[in-house]
Amino acid sequence: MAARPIVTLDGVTKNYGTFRALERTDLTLAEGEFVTLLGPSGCGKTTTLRLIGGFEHATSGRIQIDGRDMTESAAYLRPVNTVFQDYALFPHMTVAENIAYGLNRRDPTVAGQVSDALDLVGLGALRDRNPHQLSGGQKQRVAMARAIVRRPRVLLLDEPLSALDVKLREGMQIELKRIHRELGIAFLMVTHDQGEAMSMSDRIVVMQSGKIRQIGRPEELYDAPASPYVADFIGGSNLIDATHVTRDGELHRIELAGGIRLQGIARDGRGFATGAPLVAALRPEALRLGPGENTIPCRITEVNFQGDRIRLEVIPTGSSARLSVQVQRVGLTGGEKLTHGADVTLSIAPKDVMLFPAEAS
Amino acid sequence: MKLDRRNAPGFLALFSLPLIWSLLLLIVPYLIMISVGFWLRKYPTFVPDFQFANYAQIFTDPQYIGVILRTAKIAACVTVLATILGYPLAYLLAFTVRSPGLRNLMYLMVIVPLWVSYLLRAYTWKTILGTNGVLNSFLQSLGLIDAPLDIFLYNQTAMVITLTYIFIPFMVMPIFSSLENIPRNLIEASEDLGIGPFGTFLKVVLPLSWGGILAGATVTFCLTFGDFVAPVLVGGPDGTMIANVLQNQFGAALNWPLGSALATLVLLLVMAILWLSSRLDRTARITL
Repeated sequence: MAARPIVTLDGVTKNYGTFRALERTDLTLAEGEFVTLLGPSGCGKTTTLRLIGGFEHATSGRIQIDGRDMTESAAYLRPVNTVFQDYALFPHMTVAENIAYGLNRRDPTVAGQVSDALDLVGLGALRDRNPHQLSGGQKQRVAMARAIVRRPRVLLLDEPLSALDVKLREGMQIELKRIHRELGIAFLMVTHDQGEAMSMSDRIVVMQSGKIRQIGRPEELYDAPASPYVADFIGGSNLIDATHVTRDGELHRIELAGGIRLQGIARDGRGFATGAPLVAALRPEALRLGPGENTIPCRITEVNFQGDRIRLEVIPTGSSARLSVQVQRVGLTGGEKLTHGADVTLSIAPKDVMLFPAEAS
Repeated sequence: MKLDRRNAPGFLALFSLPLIWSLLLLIVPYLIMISVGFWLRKYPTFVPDFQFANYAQIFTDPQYIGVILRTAKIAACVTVLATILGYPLAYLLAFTVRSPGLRNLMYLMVIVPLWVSYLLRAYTWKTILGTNGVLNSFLQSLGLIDAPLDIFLYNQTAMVITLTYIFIPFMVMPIFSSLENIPRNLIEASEDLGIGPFGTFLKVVLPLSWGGILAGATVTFCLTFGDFVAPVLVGGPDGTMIANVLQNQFGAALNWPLGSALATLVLLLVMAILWLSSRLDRTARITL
């Protein structure tokens, strides 16, 4: 990103008593960028957002916003605004009053700004309603309008879609992207939903136990995860214990429990000692029915019909590992016997067998 | 009331005792009180009648109206003082004290006096404010005064102080619970939108705790309005309140019909205040 950095975290640590919520974290958010903090609950993503919003203060490290050191600044002095998880609309004010809350009342352009913000989120008709008369999706839009009407340099979104039902959520994802494009300001969103993160973000920050595990574009994280954790969290993976056998250029030969041998690749072309314990990450959608370069004979233990595809749970012969396999129904000939207890042969391209040293998990 | 026939015996078994209780000890006495208010006084007893002389006497004799106004004034002073003192305390408990243990302890300290006899607590102020009381001894020991002063006790100020002390828990409790119910993220949202702590208090916290203030003010005002102990213990000759006059009609003055009429009037006044309070609360009703 060549764009100017708008938020910079420099070695930020946050402790709550003896609990370390965030550990020496560096992060840069560029102007106009859509970045997502992704991770399970307790990974430090919300803490990071609250530190930038000014609701928490860092134990150590510096936070710069728009070129100024704001580590110690109070929330009301920061050029950032937040869309809160449960919207936090003021119940004693109408929609329009909520949106105008942070604007200077004596400014004659307030009415126009409120109307513009309402139009941007498509709620012009509801300006005189009270929050309790709105649906979840409408509250979400009011919260958006209230946060963007002050033209912040960064918009912070704390799980903005988690309280909405699935259908509404997909619509709001598209809405959020449109608003982001139209405003051109940086968005920093917290979510635990990897699908949401992948479909919306320019970059994703994967976090775990108060640390950043990997930062990258969605396709980078999917294609080249830095650890089994990321491989599993982004897109989902079968993680299987293996042992290193030999190396042949790019390719590593490994052996799974039960004597099954596979070829795979390692990130950054790293090497392993012979006999070293490894973890192989195999994406369910990369496994194919039928023999190929890497053949794995299996027995089906579960068949799960999902419409356009079928999800199989299988156990490789001679192993106790369980593999999830995703089969596109379009590619099936109809001759395959996909039933509980049937034997199948699976294969996977060597480039899709992602190898990591075992201790990294 | 429509009852499911199958449940009727169970319903009666469960509720007949409380219903009879409240009928005999609440409804019937009210009816007796209201009707005696229309009776005629024929010294030394009273005869049943339906006439308005008792009410006419209340509204024509200026001493009764005067006492009612004085009672309202003292009740208003107590309510305002209790709000001014109680709100910051409730705020402190709800927002400033972070540790739940300390908060519970402080809340307990606010309500524990309610477990002590009301008479005892009112009497305490007699020993504090009296001529040989704690306050005089303290001022004498500081050398600020040479001889004990008798200006502290037996006046309306002493009554306001005593009644405020006695009724302040009823102010703190509802305000505290209304403050505690304010979602914390509303305060964060306000600050996020560039409003500092004082603005946030005025625009978010105060409007959202209005219901608690109103509830506390209503209870404090009504309890003070009906009080008759503080005037006896710490009030002076000009400290008589309506409840004392009322009590007197059933005692020394031996005029039950007039007393009942006065009691009915006080009941109506208190009900009017409750009605006003619920109206104010409804117009400010906020769905959180």
